[in-house]
Amino acid sequence: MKRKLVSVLLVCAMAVTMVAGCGSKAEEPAEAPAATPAPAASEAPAATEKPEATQAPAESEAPAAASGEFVKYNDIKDGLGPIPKSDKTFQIGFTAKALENEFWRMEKEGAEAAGKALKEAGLDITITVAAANGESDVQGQEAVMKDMINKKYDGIMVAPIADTNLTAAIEEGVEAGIPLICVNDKDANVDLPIVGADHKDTAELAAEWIATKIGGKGQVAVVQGLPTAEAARLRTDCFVDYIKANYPDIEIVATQNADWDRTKAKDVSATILKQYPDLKAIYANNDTMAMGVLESVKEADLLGKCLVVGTDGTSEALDSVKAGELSATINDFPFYQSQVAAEMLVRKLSGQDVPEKIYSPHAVVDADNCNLSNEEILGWKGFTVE
Amino acid sequence: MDKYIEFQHITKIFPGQKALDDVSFSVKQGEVHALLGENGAGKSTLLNILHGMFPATQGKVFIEGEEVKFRNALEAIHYGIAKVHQEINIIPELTVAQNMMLGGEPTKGPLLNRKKMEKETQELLDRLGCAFHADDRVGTLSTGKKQMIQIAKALYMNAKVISFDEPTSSLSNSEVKTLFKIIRDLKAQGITILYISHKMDEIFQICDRASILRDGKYVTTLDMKETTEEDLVQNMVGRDVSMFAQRLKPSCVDKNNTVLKVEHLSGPAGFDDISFELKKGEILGFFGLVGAMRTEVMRAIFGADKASGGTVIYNGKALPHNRTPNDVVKMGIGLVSENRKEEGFVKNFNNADNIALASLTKYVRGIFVKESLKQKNSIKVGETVGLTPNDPEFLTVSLSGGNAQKVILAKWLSTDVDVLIMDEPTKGIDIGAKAEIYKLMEEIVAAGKSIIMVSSEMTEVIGMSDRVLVMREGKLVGELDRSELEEERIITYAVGGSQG
Amino acid sequence: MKKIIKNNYRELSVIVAIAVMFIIFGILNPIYISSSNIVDILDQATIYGLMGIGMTMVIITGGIDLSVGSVLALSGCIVANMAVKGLNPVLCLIVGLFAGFAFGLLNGLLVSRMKLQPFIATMGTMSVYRGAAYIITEGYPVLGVPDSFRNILNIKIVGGIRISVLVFIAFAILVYILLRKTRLGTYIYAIGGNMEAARLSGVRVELTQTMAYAIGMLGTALAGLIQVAKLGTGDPTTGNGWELNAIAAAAIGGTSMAGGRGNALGTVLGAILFSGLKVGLIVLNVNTYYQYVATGLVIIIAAYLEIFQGAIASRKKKKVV
Repeated sequence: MKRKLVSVLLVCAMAVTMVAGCGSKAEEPAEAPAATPAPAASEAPAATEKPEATQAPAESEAPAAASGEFVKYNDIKDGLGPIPKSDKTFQIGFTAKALENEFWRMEKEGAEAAGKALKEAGLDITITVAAANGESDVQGQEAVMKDMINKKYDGIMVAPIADTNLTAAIEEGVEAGIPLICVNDKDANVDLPIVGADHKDTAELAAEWIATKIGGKGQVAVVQGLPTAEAARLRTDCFVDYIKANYPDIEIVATQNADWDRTKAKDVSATILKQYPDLKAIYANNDTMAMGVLESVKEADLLGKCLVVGTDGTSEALDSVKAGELSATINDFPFYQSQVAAEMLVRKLSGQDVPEKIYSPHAVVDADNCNLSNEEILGWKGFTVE
Repeated sequence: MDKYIEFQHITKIFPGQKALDDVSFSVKQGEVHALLGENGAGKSTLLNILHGMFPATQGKVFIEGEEVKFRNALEAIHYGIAKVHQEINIIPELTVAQNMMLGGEPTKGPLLNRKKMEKETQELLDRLGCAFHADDRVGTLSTGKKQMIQIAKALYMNAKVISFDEPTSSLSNSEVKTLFKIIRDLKAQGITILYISHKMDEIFQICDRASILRDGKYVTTLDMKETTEEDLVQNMVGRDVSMFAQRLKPSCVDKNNTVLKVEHLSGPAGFDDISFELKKGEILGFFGLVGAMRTEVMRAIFGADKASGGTVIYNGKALPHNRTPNDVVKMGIGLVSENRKEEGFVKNFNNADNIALASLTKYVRGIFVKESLKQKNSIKVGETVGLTPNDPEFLTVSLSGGNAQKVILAKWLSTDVDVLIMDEPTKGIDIGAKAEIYKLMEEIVAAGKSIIMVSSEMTEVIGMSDRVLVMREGKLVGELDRSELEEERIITYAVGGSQG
Repeated sequence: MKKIIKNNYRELSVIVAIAVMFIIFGILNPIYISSSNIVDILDQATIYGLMGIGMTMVIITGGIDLSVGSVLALSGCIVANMAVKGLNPVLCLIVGLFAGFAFGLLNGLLVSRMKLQPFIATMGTMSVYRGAAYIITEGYPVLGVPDSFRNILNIKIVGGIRISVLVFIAFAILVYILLRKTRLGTYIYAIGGNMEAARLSGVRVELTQTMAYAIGMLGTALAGLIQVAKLGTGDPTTGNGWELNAIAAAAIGGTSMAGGRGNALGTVLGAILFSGLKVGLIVLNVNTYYQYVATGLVIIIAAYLEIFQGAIASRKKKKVV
C-alpha cells in the first residue's frame, strides 16, 4: 500500500518533470537569473572605453528620469553629480537570491563593498544582505524581506526569486513608506524602481563581437538557457534578430536548449558540432553553459576554429578567457549592479530625484582586455559624496 | 417464489479458459442456498456475474422474473444485491463507521453527519453482538472482526440478496454462532442468502439447499435434509475422497526426545507465561478462539516479532533473546504463515525461486546461484508435495490456494528445518487439497520432524493432533492428549468454562 | 527462442523502439546514423544510465533514492578537489567510489535500520549531500582537473568510443549478474516482491536493503567521476533533479515502481532510448518545447507497455490454471 502510494507520487512527479522537460529545470545551476546589467552604453563591443567622466556636473542637468523608460547608468552617472551629503543614518537591506549561485554572491559582495565605500566617503550607512535558501525557497525569501520591513530599514534592495513571490512583502514595504529598489529582477505586480540588465544589449554585444571576429559570414549556433526564463529568451532572440538584420551571410544553424546546465550544454553542442563541422561560433546564454560547450569544442579539436562566447562574467569564465580558451564573455558585472542599486537608493533617501529604471553597465571581456581590472573595463570611479 | 434468482445458461470465458460452462439453476426466495465446489469450480465467478463485477459471456440472470444486467457492483448494491467478500476489502485507516457507510455517508448539509453514522453503525454492531465500537479504527481490529464489519455493512444496505463467500473462515466460534443466528433472522425476513463455504458442518447447519459446480459445470442441486456429507463431497470432487482430517498412519511421537522447549514466553502483544514442549515426531495442535494470540506466540518464537521475556530452547540450545527469523531458520525452525499471500511467497517469483528462497545457499556454486540446481530441487520437492503443475517456472501467485500452500511447504522441506510451525495450514484450501496437506504433514513427522499446528478448525485439530494445547486471551489454559480429544472439552477450555 | 522472447519481452520492446527511432531519425537526417553520432548517443547515455542502474537496484527492493543527483555532485566535487591537488588519479577514483558507497550505505541504513520511508529518508539526504557539496567547494566549481585524471575515464579507444562508455556497460553487466545470479540479487528481488515473506523465510532483509542502496550508489559515484572527467570541472550545482531522469531510464527499461521487477540491461536500453531521442531532436533542430513533449510521451508509452506486458502475463497465467 505504502509502496504503491510512493510509486504513484513518483509517477506524478515524474510526469510533471518529464513532461515539463526532462530537462529538469527549476534549478538551473549557475546563473539563471535574468541577470545582467546593462552595458556600458550602446557603444558596441570593446568595452574599454567609457572613461572620461571626471567630476560631477552639477545638479542643473540632473536626471531626465522619465519614469517608464530605461536609461543606461553610464549615460546618466555624470549627470547625477556627487551623492548629496546627509546626516541621516542609513540602514539598508538587500533581499537577495540564493547565494549558491556565483552571480548572486557577487551581487552580495558588491552591495557590501558599496556599503563600505559609502561609509568611507562619509555617510553613516550599513548595508545588510540576506538571501533565500536556494533558488526555490520562495517563502524563505519572503520571510527575509518581511524581517527587514519589521526592523524598519530605511531602504531595501530586492531581487525576487520568482515573478510574484515577494508581491505581498513588497506591498507591505510600500505601505510602510520604505523606499524599495529592485536589483536585476522585478516583481510582476508592483512597478518598482529597478536597476536591471539589458539583455538585448548583451545579446547584441555578443552578436556584433562574433560577427566581427568571423568576418561577417559562416555558420553559428546558439545554446540557450531554460527557455521559460526571460534572460534566455531575450538573449537568444535578440542575438538571432541582430545577426539576421545586420549580417545576412551568417547562418544560425541551430538553437538548442541546455537548461543552463554544463553537462547538457556539452552534450548538445557535441551533437551540433557533429552535424556542422564548419561551425564558426557558438553563443551560450550563460557562462556555465559556455564552459560545457568549450569542452566539446576542445574534444572536437576545434579550439580557436569555433569561437565560444558566454554571458555573465563568472570567475571561471574570466579565467578561461585569460587562459586563451573561452573566446569572450559578456560580463554583466553583478558586483557593480548591486553597487549601482545601492547608490540610487542612497541618493533617493538623501532627497535626490533619480531615474527609476536603470540598466547597469556591462561589457565584453575578451583576450584584448581580460587583463585589465574591472574598474578599467567599466570606467568605474567609485562613489563621491558632497 | 420458487425462482427468485434464476441463472440461465451462464457461460463465462476468460482468455484461454472457460470458467463457467452453461450453468442453469435457480434459488428460492428466503432460502439459504449453498454454492459448493472445489476451488476453481466457478463459484466465485458466478457470484461476480451476479454482482455485476463482470458480464457473462453468454446466458442471462433473472431476479423476480426480470432480467438483470448490472454494469458494476454499485448497481447491484442499489438493486439490493450485497456481498460479504472472501477478500476483505475495507480500508484500515478509516473507522468502522466510515467503512460501513463508505459511498453512502449520511450528510447534514455539506458536512458528514458523523453522529448519525456512528449511531447507526453501533446499532448494527450491537445487533451482531460485536465487541468493538463504531469509532474504532479498522486497522486495529483482528481479521475476524474486520469480517464482521463486512457482514454488518451488507445488513446496513438492506439487501434483498446477500452472498457470503467463506464468511466464517476467520471468525471465532462464538462469532460464527452469532452469524448463524443473524443469517436465520435474515432468512425469516425473506432475504435470500447465497453461501459459499468449504466447511461441511456449517452447510448442514445453516443451508436449505446446495447447488454444486465442478470444473465450471453445474452438477446438481440437493436438498440438505435429504443428503449426506459423502453425497455432497462425491458430487463436488467427482471421486470418492475422504474429506476428513484423520491420521492414516500410526503416531510416531518420540516422547523421550524434546525438540523444542518454550519457557515462560511473554510478548508485548499481551500473551504471557507460555511454556510447553514439542516432542520429536509430534503434531502439536494449538487451538483457541480469535484473540487467543496463538499466532502472536508463534511469531515470537520464530523471531518475527520481539518477545519481551522467556526463553526458547531448541535441541538443548537456547535461541538468542533478540532473535531474527534468519537466526531461527538457521537453527532449524520454519514458519508457514497464516497469510499465504502477504507472508508466504513472493508474487513475482516462480515456483523454483519461491521454493529456493529459504535454502538459497544450497544452490550456490562459487559466488553464483546455479539455476539448474534450483530447478532440479523445485521439481524434486514439488513432486514430494504433489504440486500441480509441478513447473519450476510457473508463477506461484497464479496457483490455487492449495498449490500455493504446497509451494510454501516445499520451501521449508528444501531446508534442513526440523520443526515446522504451521499457522492455519488449510485455510481457504479446497477439500481435495486439504486431504493432501494432511497426508504431507503425516509424512513430515514420519520423517522425524515435528509440527506445531495452529488451527481454528475443530475437525483438523481433533483429527490431526497428537496433543492439543488450548489458549485463551494470551494464556495457555489446557492440554489434552490425543485420547482426550473431544470437541466439547476443547471448547470448554477455549471459552473459559469450568472443567468437569 | 520463443521462451527468450517471452522472458525478455520488455527489453526487446525497447530494442525495437530504439531501432524504430534510428530508422526514423536516420531517414529524416542521415547524420543521425553516422558512427560518430551513435558513439555520441552512447556517450550521453552514460551518466543517466549509470545513475539509472543504481536506481534500478533500489527500486527493485521497493524503495527509491532521491539523493542520487546530489551524490553525483558531491562525489564529483570530492574527487575533483583531490585531483586538482595533484593526488594520484587512481587514488582519487577509488576514494570517489568509496565515498559514493558510503553515501548509499547511509541511505540504506536510514531505510533499513531506522525504518524511515525511502522517499523521506533520501529526500533528507538529498539536501544534506547537496549542502556538503556546496560546503566543500564554497559554492564555486572546482576547475582545472588535470588530464592525468580525466584521461582515465575520458580517453578514446577504438572507434571513438570512450572508456567511460565501457565502464557504463561493464557496470551494467556486473549489476545484471549480481541481480540474476547471486544470492544477494535474489534477495533483492524477494524483498521487493514481498518483504515479509522474505523476512519470514530467513532472508536478512535489512542487510539486503542496505546493500542495494550502497551498491546502487556506486553507479552514481561512477557517473559523478565520469562527469568530472568529461568536463574537467567538479560542479556542486550539477545533477539537480536528475534523480527523475534516472528513474525515467529505469522505468522505460521495465523496472516496476512497485518493486520486485526490473533489471540493469533494461535500464541501459532505457537510457539509450532517452539520449537517442534527445540527440535526434537536436539533430532535427526541433524546438525545445516540443522536445519536452516528445520525451514525456516516450515515458508514457513505456508505462503503457508495462501494462500491456502485464496483460499478456496474466493471460498466460489463466490459461494454465
